Amino acid sequence: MSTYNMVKQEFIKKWITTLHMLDCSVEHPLNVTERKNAIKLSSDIAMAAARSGSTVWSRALISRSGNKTANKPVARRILKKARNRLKNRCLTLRRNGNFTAKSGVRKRTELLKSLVPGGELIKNKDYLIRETLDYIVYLRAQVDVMRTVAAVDSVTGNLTNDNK
Amino acid sequence: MDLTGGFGPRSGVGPVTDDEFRQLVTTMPPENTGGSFTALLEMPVTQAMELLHFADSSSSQANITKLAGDNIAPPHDPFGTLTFPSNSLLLDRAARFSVIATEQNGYISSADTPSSSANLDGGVKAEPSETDSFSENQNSKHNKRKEREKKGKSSMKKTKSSVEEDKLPYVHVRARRGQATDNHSLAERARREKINARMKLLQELVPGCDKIQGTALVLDEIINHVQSLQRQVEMLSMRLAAVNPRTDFNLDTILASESGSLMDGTFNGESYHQLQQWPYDGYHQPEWGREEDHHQDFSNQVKMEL
Repeated sequence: MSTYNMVKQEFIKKWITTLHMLDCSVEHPLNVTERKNAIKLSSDIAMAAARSGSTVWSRALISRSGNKTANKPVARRILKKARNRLKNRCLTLRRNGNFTAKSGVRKRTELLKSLVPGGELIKNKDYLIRETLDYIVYLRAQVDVMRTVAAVDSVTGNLTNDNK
Repeated sequence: MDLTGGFGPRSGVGPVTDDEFRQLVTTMPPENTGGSFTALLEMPVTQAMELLHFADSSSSQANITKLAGDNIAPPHDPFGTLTFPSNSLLLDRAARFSVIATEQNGYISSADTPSSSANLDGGVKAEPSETDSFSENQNSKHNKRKEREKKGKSSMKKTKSSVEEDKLPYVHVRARRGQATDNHSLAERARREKINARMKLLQELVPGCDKIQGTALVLDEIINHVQSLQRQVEMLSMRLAAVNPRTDFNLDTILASESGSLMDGTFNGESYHQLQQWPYDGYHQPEWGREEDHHQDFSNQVKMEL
C-alpha cells in the first residue's frame, strides 16, 4: 500500500521518457544553463503527466510547458495526450511577490494562487486548497527523486575519480 | 474550531503507540463540536485507528533503516530512505488522498490525513535536521519562519471570499449556543468548517505548521513551503545539469538507484519485476543480486560502463 512510492515510480517513468525525447531532439553540446532548463522542463512535464487527470495545476503546467518546447516537436508528443483534455486557458501566469491587498488572508491567497500553476483561475478557496495539497505531494515526489539521483551521481562521480 | 490543542508537542521520532493515539482521539471531541468534525471526516474514529495501526507496522520498519544526519550515504545503504523515512508515510497518506480524489471524481476524502497528524510531529520535524548542507538555506528559512511566528499577530479573521455553490457532500452542522440557526448562516458555517478542515490537512502536510493559530499564518507557511520546494527543484536540476555531460544521463543509474530507494528497506518482488520490464531493459544487464548487495553490484556496473 505504498501510494507515495507509486507516485514516485510513475514520475520516474515519465521523466525518463521525456529526458530521452528532449535529448534526441537537441544538438550537443549545451552549456549548463540550457541543460538545467532542459532537465527542469522535462521533469515538470513528467510531474504533470504523472498526475494527468482532474487537477487544474497539472493541466496548467502542461500548457505552460508546451510554450517552452516550441522548438522541440518530439517533446510535444508526450504533451498531446494530456493536452487533448485541455482548455487552454492559462497561458499568462504571472509570478508576483508584492501585493497590496487589504486583509492578510486575502493577500496570501492571492500569493498562493500565483504560486500554484493554474491557481489564478480557481475562484473557490476550497478548491484552491485542495489543488495546493495535491501539488505539494507531487512537488515533494519530484524533489525526492531528483535528490536521490543527484546523490547517486555524486557518489558515482567519486568512484570513477578514484579509479583514475 | 480549534483542534491544535489536541495534538500536543511530541518529542522523539518513534512510532505512535496505541495509548497515545487513543489519548489524542479521545481529547478531540470534547473540545469542539465533535459531531460535525467526524461528519466532515466521513469516517468513524475506529477506522482512523486502523489506519494508524498500519502506519505503526510500516513505520517501525522504516525506522530500522533510518540514519540521522547524512544525506550522502555510504554506498551500501539505500538512499531514499535515508532522508525521509517517516515522511514517506505521511506522503503516502497525502498521496492516497490525491489518488482517492481522482477516483471519486474530485471529491477528496479527508479521512486519511488527520490520522497521520500524530505521526507528523515526530516524522516531519526530523526533516530539517536531515537535509544536507546544500539545502541549508531551507533550514535557515525555517528558523526565520519560527521567529516570525512568535512575533506575528494571530488573526482569526475568516474572510468571506467569493462564495460559490458548495459542491461537496451534505454535512451535518451542529449549531452552538447563541448562534443563528437560519439556513443562510448554517450554510456559511458549513462552508467555513470545510475550509478549515482543509486548512488543517494542509497544516499537517506542511512541516511545523500545526502550532499556528489563524488562517493567515498557516497560508504563510504553505506558501513558504511551496516556494521552497520549487526552489529546490531549480537547484537540483542545476546540480544534475552540472554533474552530467549530457541531458540524457545514465538510465542505469536512475533505475538502479530508484529501485533501491523505492523499496524502503523491504524487498518487494513485484515492483522489482515491474522495473525490469520497462522498455529500456536492453540498456543494462540485469545482474542485480539481493537488495543488500545492490549498490556494490551497481557501482561495479557503472565502472564497467564508464
